[in-house]
Amino acid sequence: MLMTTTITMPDFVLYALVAGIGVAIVMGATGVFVVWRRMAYFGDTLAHSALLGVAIGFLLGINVNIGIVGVCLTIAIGMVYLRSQRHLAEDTLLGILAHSSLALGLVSVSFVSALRIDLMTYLFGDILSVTPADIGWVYGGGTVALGVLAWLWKDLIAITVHEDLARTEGVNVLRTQIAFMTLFALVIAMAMKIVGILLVTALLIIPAATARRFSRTPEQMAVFAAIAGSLSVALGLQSSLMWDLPSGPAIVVASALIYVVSIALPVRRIA
Amino acid sequence: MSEELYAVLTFQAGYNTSIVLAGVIALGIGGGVIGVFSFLRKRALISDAISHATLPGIAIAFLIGIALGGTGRNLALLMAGAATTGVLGVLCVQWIRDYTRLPEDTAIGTVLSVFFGLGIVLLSHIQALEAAGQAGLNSFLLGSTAALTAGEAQLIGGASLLTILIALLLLKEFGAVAFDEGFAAAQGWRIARLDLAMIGLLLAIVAIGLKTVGLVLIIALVIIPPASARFWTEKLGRLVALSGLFGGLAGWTGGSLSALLPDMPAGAVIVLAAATIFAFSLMFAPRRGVIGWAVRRLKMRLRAASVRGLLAMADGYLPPDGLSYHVIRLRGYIDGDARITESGRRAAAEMRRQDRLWQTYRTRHPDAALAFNPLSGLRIEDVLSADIIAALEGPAR
Repeated sequence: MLMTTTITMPDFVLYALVAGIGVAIVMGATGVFVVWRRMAYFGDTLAHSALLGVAIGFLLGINVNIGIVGVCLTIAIGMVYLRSQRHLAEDTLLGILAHSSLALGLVSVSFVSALRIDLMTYLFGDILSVTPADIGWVYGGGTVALGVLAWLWKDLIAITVHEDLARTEGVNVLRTQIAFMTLFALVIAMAMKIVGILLVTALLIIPAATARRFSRTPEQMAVFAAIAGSLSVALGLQSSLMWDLPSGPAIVVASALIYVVSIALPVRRIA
Repeated sequence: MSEELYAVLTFQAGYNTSIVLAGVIALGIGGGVIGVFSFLRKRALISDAISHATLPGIAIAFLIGIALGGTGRNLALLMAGAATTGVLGVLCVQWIRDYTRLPEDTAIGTVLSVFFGLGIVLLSHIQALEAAGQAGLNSFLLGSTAALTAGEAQLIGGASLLTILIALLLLKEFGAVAFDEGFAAAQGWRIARLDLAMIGLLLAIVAIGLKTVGLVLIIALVIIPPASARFWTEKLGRLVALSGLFGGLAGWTGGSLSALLPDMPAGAVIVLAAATIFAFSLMFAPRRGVIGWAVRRLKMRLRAASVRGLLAMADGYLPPDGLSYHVIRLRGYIDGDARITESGRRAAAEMRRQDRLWQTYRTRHPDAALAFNPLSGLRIEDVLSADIIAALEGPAR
């Protein structure tokens, strides 16, 4: 029965579902640390700057994904530098970087000419236009991202719980943080096509927030977040097809519904 | 192009453009003034959430407007709708923060993206309707100055001025809350209520600026000017004035540019103007700017090199490294044949004496000596009185 529904699905829906679930799995696992390390605003900033990456990719004639990862990394490094200056609070810095880079992105995109870039696609995502090549990007990049995450996992947890303690234990804090930021940039580049720049953070943190109540270990939380994210993608896609809604926002609203329902469920708390 | 720009900048490009520009300037000043308080209270995140949470309100207000038989494009009604869901967004954030285990930034991120997502869903529903005038709704996302009518611009300008006035009346209270909550509480001011008033003003600016700057970027007009102003001053009054000035400047230049470039998203152009002011402040502010900091650092290094070189010479060596060698050589303490000159000998002896006195002072009066930076280059005679120095030169008591 399941097989027949899968086969009768139009190709573009199948592609969308496969790509969306791939992204949701990677983002769920990454989101665990985003929630725990309070990096939601940081993720938002990276996502906002991604539009600049798109514009640069078009201007230089290189792959857009490479442009995005490049810009995200530049912003992350700039952030680390400005933070070390200690002139401004972190949230102010993030606010400035997020909006300036988005504004720069918007202006450069309109220079590149409206014909070649559909701005709304990048801002809100267009999962229904996913191609097999995109699926290759998602699963290729996703495998790398999950591999890196697995390799960093223990160190990341150590740093998250207590940075100084981790350092004493011999964890290379700076290397781990830079690796995680790179991973973060990669994940955002991957997810942009699915939910769009303005809503990437949602798919990062809402599934993780949902998973948090039911998890006793970070690993559990990652798995639950991946499941909640995949469910959101499926549900959002379905409602987007049924009611002709924009797919990215529909996925976000679906993930919010799952979160609200999960709050109502009883949980056995650890004492 | 440059002539046209000059005409717009000097309010000579027609009645409508001038009114719109004046409205945008008032909005910029308002954002800058209000922004100071959210800047000092570190509320950048929550203001971002507020601005994104306005979108569903705009869409719902539009639908209500149509249901009431209008075009739905009444700016005042749309602003009211925006404010309503903005408040709802703040309440949701507070609820999640207080009743779940999630950290505040996750709560804000969740509310922000869900409200925004919901707004986009509603917006696309509206676009599917065959209603007149829905085309203007998209400009709420990224802003547009071209589509503003003179009446709307007057509404924007007037409301901005009113907001600025209220903020200035509450300046003293806001300042106290931002710097010293305990003092403010002791004055009998309700901190929670003042915070609420601050968020209310923030919401007002967001609602006012939606149409021109767009809700994606409006909050940048609140965040960036105070951060830029902070590089130039330490006093609250000046911070507010400068921040308002920077905001107005961004509105003036950005608004003029976007009047000439109707294809560019107006909000992005205005925010880029503000970002340029920020970058300039970051680089060139004399005390806190990057260049000023680098210059001070360089001076410090040169001073340290000179001290290092002179102390080595006092011990009978040449300056130990390239930097200190060149500094000492430039001062004429070493001649071309790498021999220490007479003035060099004297300077080295004096440096040795200064260093010994300072060290003695630090050992005998450690707490008092804490006040002096060892590398400040101060001569001990300029700081301490002669009798103290005489005592330092003698044996310990």
